[in-house]
Amino acid sequence: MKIWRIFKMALSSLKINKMRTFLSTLGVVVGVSSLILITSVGYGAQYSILSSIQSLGSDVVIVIPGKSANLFKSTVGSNAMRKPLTYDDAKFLKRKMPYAKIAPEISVNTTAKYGRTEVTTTVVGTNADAFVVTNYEVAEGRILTDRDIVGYRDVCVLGKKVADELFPLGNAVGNYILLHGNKFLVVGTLKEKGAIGQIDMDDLVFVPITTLQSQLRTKNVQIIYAKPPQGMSIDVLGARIKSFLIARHGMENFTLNSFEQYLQLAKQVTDIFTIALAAIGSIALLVGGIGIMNIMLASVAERTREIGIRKAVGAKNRDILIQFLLESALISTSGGIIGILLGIFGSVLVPQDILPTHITTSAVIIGFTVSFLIGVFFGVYPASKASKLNPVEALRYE
Amino acid sequence: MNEVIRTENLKKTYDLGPVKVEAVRGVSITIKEGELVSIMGPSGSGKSTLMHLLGCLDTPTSGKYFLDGTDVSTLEENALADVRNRKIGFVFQTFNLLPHLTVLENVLLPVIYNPQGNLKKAEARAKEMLTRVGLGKRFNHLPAQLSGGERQRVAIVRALINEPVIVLADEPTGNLDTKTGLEIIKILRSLNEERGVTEIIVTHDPSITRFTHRTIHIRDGLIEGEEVNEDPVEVL
Ligand SMILES: Nc1ncnc2c1ncn2[C@@H]1O[C@H](COP(=O)(O)OP(=O)(O)O)[C@@H](O)[C@H]1O
Ligand SMILES: [Mg+2]
Repeated sequence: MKIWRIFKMALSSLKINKMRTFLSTLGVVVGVSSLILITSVGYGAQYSILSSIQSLGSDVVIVIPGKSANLFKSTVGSNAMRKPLTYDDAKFLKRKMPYAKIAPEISVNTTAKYGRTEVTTTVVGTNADAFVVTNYEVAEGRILTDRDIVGYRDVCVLGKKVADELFPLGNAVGNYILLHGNKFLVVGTLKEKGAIGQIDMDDLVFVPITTLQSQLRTKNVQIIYAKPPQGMSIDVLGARIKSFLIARHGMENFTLNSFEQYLQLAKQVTDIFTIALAAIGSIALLVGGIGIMNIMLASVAERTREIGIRKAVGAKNRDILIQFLLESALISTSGGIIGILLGIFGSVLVPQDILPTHITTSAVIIGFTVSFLIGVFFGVYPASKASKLNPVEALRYE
Repeated sequence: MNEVIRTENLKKTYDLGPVKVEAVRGVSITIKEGELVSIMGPSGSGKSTLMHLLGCLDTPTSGKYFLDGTDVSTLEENALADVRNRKIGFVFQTFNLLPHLTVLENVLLPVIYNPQGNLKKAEARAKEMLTRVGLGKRFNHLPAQLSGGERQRVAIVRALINEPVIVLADEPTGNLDTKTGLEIIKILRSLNEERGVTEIIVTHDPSITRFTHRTIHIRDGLIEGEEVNEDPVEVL
């Protein structure tokens, strides 16, 4: 018997009891749509981290004070207290490796004021290299220069958000603003950069590191970014920084990281998240499968006479088996297709700025395949039950 | 003439745990090609059980059954399905049409399960036969839209569609009134006369036996007697 015939037969059987067919797909619909939605959220998180790190440049080495094996552990260890990272360390590294971009950074949360407008923001003391490391583009004016740094100048460069808030009409460059009560000349503004992780890269004000350090009465920096020149890997640069700093400090009292490591970690975290939630979706699918089995068993019982008639005119056990298997696979696969569409629809409805979503082809293919397999798997028992019916007894069934 | 059916001491016992029901207790019959035979007997005498055995819907507890020259009493399920499909046409008392299939689809059902079946040719033949039994305008009707007599005519055409070696009709008129029943008998008789179809008709209505060549009387699962009707009456 031709498979196409059986397929048409199965399809017309399902049409007879439309409501029941529809209801029996629901479990799989819920399972597949939640699977699609959940993985889209998981992948969305990964992609947003990936893209923000790419916008920063993943080829950046990060040096933080204190020795820590774990990225998430506090970096303020006892070693760090004894010997923190200083601006001199950064200058030393630059002297040893003039080819690299070295950007030390110290930041403080404070207020920025222009006229009557006052906003809270983060002031970052850094140098000219920082703008290269973080791939900022100038909107107006200029970035910080070495002369600003060396001269302890009271100048600042505004991030897009701060500039917009203090100078809604534009023309920020050339005006004086107050940072924590101290007067600074705005020499430039930056183009929009977006957020990297938790940090809004546009809600920042950049000042010469020398100026901020003298105001804070410190020689320390919180972080040093280093970017290798073209053709050098971050591993090579990292190794050099490590040996230079150990030689200078006499011990390894700092930690080297790269964004790549952060990326790996973020990936791991979202992977675990995705797997955990996908497991929940799978349970929904399992329940859907059991629902289909239940309906198929009822259908087999109800259609005992039909099975008897088919067998009486020559249907083999295999013909009946395939017919019922196909019916159950059709139910689950159509549930799967509806689920995929609903999942995609749902992931589009999720507000992307809160929870970015990303639909992957593999999720769609897996959703489709799994729903088909569920129909086959949970259809085997009812179908084999149907196929093994004795024709005479089946015909006698009322 | 060739033997289409030969049974030797055919027995069927239903094992119901504490009791055993001997429905057929040793039946030996021979049906020749082109014969129109009736089987008579009171209710519960084992007629249906015998027909199920002859129709390969069930397997005998013991005894031998040769159908069209081959021993089918020992065949396994799939082989029996094949025999049912190609060598046997069964007509039931309760018609047994699939309610969701049209008249034409019901008639073609055995062709679908026939590996050598040709649907195109079978469809033409189905239409021709349906027209001959007066259902020319009913191809696409559902069984529920037909009268009992019409349904039984569909069932007869279905039984013939794979050109079987024998048609087995188990009380084909049992669910019909006398007049409609006679029409069905007339169709079965004309198939035998005009096309040479070998047929067994089970009935407990003595008036039907006069239309057949031979009548086998069965009681309590055994053959009680047999009478040959040299001059079967025409059905009018
Ligand atoms: N599946 C079965 N299980 C048990 N007993 C059965 C079964 N089928 C038929 N019988 C018994 O076998 C006997 C013959 O039944 P059946 O062949 O249907 O008679 P008929 O068709 O002549 O009325 C009856 O006593 C009936 O109860
Ligand atoms: Mg009976």
